[in-house]
Amino acid sequence: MRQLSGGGDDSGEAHRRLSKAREAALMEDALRAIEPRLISSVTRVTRDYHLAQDITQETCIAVLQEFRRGTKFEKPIIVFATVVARNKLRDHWRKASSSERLYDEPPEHARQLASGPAAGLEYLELLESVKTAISDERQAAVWELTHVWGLKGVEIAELLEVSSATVSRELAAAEIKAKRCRDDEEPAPA
Amino acid sequence: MNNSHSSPHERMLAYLREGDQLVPPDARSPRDGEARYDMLSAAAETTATATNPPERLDVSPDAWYRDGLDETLGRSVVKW
Repeated sequence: MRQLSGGGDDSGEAHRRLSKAREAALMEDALRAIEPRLISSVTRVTRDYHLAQDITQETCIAVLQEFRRGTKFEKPIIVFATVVARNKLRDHWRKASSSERLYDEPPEHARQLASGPAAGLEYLELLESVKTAISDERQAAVWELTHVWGLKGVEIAELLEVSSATVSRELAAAEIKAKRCRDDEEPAPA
Repeated sequence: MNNSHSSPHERMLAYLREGDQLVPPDARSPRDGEARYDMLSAAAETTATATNPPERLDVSPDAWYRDGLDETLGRSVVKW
């Protein structure tokens, strides 16, 4: 009978190689799945498709490096990638804002500074108004992860370490509060 | 949409919808698998050796709450 792999140490080595190849294939599939999702969500936030491509690429590279370090992803990879992308976006805006303070006018070569900080400021103000309306940390996080980052209920549940039922309940509560118009709370005087 | 008669929910969704229109249709589906992966893989190899050790990432709920963009950036951004 023909053996699929050699015996003894060779078999162990072959098994490890096969296992690594399978893991790499899974990682490749995961990256293919998360890349379009990240590009969409980061473009929605930044209104800068090229910046979104850069951040998404850096995020995918960070995920790959984490994988190669042997990290076991206990949460879905999209959760990990979303956290990385948000951190990178935060760092980008932080750098952009500090650079902008150094110039009276943004340098011409600084493509990202032209749209990044302005869009960032508008986005942050809108996010703050949503969070103020919701006024609950977990509900606001569920709202943001759903509508901004496009995560599914089960993915949000993994990130926030709650049940999917809790995510649904918190989202419903958050949306009721966030959908209240300012006029609903402050009726005009008669 | 940016008026006091719309809710924070509606204003944010309108903002996101405008950004959504900037995403090319072909970017919404997975790219060519192997070549793309090879490129990312090579880049991961290069940056891993060229840069400082990457930061340890905290994916706990507390970290998500703590590192919110608005709290981390908001105040300093608004001061420009």
